[in-house]
Amino acid sequence: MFLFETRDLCKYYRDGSRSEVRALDEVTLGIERGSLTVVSGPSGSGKTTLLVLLGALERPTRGHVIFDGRDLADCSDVALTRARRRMGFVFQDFALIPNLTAEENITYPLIPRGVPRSEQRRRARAALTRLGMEDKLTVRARRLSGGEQQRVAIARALAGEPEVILADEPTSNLDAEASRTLLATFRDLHAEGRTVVLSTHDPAAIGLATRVYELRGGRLK
Amino acid sequence: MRRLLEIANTGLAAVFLHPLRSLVSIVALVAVLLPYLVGLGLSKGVEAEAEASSRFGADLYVTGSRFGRPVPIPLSAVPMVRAIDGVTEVVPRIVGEVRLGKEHIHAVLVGMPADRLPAWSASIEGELPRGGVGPNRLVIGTALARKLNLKIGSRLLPFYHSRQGDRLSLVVGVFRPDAPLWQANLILTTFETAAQVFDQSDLATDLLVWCVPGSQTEVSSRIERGLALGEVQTRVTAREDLLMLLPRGLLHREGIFNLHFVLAFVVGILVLLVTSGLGLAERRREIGILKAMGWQTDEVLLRGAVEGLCLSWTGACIALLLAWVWLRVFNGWGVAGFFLAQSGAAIDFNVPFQLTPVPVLLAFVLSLVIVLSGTLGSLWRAAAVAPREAMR
Repeated sequence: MFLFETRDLCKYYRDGSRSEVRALDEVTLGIERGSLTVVSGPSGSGKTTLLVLLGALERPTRGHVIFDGRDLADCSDVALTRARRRMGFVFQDFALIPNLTAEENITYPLIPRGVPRSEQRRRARAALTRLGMEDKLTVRARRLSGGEQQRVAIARALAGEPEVILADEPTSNLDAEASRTLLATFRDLHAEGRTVVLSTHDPAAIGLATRVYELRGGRLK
Repeated sequence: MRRLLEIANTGLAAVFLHPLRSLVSIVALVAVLLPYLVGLGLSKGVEAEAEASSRFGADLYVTGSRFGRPVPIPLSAVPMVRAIDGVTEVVPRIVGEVRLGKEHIHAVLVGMPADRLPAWSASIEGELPRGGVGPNRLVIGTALARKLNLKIGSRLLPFYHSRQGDRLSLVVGVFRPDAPLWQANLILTTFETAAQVFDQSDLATDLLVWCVPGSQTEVSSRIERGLALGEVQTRVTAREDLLMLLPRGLLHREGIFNLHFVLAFVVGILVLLVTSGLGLAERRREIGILKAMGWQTDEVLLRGAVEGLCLSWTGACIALLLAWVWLRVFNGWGVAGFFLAQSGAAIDFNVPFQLTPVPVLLAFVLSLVIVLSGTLGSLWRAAAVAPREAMR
């Protein structure tokens, strides 16, 4: 039973000149519910673009992304937002709001979902504690180190209690010890029954995967 | 509802997230709104004082007319008017223009019968003018006193030529700074002195007529139809007519002022458009992040609207406070001269002002329009695209 399916998925960009960059080309794959899937490949192979399309953060140029039986290419903006609320996305560059505290960065996505304030705080504290960051709750994001920002970004994804976690190069900014801890967290989330999709070329992460897809030049190998 | 309030609260927090942008926006707003509020406050104050002065004035103002143009009215008309049924009092008055000093400073000289002058005593420091031999006794306005460096006891060389001979003038009083603004360039003296200054004996510029309540219309028509003054015809202006005429002059100045304000308004919007460009990439990315995390476009817009509302109302409140300080403490410095003829940037008397609810409310609405016009476009453009595109 697939949670995600892509069919002939294409994403083309214009790079400023008239030429077209094919970030993804005719990608067809399936991601099973409850799996820990790794998308690997060298830099520029289209891993991030695939995760962005799976996360409903952009529409494909052509083809289909089917999430839980629904084609995201045909969805309205409101429906796409609803889909996003069921996912937790961890960006490679963390995508934190620099002037907000770690707690605010984590609770902001919960506000439009109608989560009560006390519950927002509880979830933020729990997520940061899980990642060993409970003492950084009130620190502004811009004052955190790269590794700490990465963990706040993961805590933000977890606080929404998503069905699926999409993480783009989650260990790229972490040292070996932090990477191990983080991968253990993903393993635990997978063990809890959540679907986890990682884009990475970290062999340790690939070792955890129940399924690995490899991209080369925007195409599945 | 709680959810919307929380989203609105993030809009309030956004004001502090971008302090430089917020500060520049508020400063731009204050720069546009402040002169507007000061100008309208002065305009309303001057209008209210003019109305108040007219209400306490005479019921009818009788002037002479020949060839359809105003001319002095003979004093022989006074007993005729006094004899009309319904008239309770008639006072002749001379109002004329004189030039004083080497710089020919403009002043308005008003001559009233000595027995009418005590009504002015509350507004005057020093003595009231009186007739008799010796120099002309004058009370002068605060602006004149400053311009000509005059004080009580100062003497003025003759500033007119009369067949009865030129006389020195003595300043016996100066209007208080808190007296109504009309005194600024005024010289008050007795009727006889004014007649001698203008060399026009047995003539008045107008007659002030008080009537039994309800008889103004009848008295007015009898003066216009029944007074035999030779070739001089009479023209009567009722107090109500005067009240209707008063705002016209002010509206003209208000119109010019509003034209200036429209230009400032456009500049304000342009400044805010530029301001909204401050950290635009950062704000776009922030909106992209929020959308990526599950915020809907309308929720992002609500947050932006609340931020705009907070900025605009903060700007309006500060502008209002500063306008009050400008008017009250700095006496409308710079702007008052625009509304008060013959006065410079600095005014020597207390300028009247009124910050009435309508301009205040308008300031709040205008500030909101300025902020939203300057920011909604960029906000909408960032909120309407896919999150990844906004984050790029």
